[in-house]
Amino acid sequence: MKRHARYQAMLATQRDLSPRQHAALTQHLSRCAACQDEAAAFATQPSALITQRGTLPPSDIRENVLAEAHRVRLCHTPFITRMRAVQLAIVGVVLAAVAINSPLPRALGITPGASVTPGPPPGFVCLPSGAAIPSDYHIIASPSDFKTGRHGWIHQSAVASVANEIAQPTWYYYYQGAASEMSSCRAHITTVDIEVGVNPDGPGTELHAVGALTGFQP
Amino acid sequence: MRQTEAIEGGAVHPDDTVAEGVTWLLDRYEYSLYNYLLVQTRNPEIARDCVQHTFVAALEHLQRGRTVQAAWLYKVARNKGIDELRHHQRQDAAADLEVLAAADSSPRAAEVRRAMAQLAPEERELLYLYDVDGFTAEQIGSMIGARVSAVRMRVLRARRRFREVYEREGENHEAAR
Repeated sequence: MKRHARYQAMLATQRDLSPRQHAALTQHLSRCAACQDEAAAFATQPSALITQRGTLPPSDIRENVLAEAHRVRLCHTPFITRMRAVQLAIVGVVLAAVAINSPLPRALGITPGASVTPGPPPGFVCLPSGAAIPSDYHIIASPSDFKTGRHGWIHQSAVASVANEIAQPTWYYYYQGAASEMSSCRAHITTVDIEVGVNPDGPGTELHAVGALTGFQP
Repeated sequence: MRQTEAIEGGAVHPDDTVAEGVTWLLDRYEYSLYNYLLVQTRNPEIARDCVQHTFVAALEHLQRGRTVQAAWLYKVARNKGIDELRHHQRQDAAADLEVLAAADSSPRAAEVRRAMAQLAPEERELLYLYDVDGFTAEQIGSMIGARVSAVRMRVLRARRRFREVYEREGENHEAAR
């Protein structure tokens, strides 16, 4: 009986059976009247169902997506490859760690976790505490980065997507992908406003937390 | 990867420029994804939003240097569709269905749409993916997170349900004449 049910399932999905499965099904059909009837009934179904593919999508879908692609292209900085960005970020982390442990910051009263940070290098934007971040500044980091307090990076060209809910002050490095300069500086994120959404890649895969910052403390 | 290779492979590789890649994806999948979501959600507005969301997600995916394949697109669209349906427990689904059926190209298409509407969302989805979009049981399994044997069994059940409902629809239609 179980075997018969398996043949019936094969009958419903004949199109993608392996040659071996197909041969076994043909053999079964030759001696099973019930399956022959079912095969005849199923034979016309695909042509009926194909009628469900007849609706034209609204034209604004394409327009909106292409407008978004155009916007992304304008913001994109092609000279910064992913590897290069990671390398520079690592260098930034190391330099900052050295700076924090050097006698000068301590002499100035700057310690890790304190709310005073060095000023940003030329070309960077550091906003007063509580100020709204321009909407084109977003975070690129995985939620685990937020949770564990590891360093993340903020890139101008990122676009808003899905993320976990995190609102925890943490030290981050960020960079600005300008055409001719790239560096890093520290900022103290006071609040993070991130949308909660579905991870399209399914569970277990890396979820890129991309959301707008609502506050910075330079 | 050049554009022709991408077409043959059924996927867009991040080496293609992001704009080129997303244009190719729109050419290839916009139509089928929209109809898939119409079948799944039975709501043109939700279908439209979900398709747009899916292609913007694809754009982001390409921008991060990842490859976009058909199965990935459908998975994103499917998840978004399920999500939207959860949030929009709409009362006027029957009205939406009649609008869609009225716009169908033939009386048969309208009849099929009404029959499909009586199936469970999962049954509609499986029939559409297998029979209309031509995915294999294995591909569908990877989209919905099920084993191939389970997909085959579910398609069988969906086919039986569809046959039952479609025949009943036909009889009702005859009786109404």
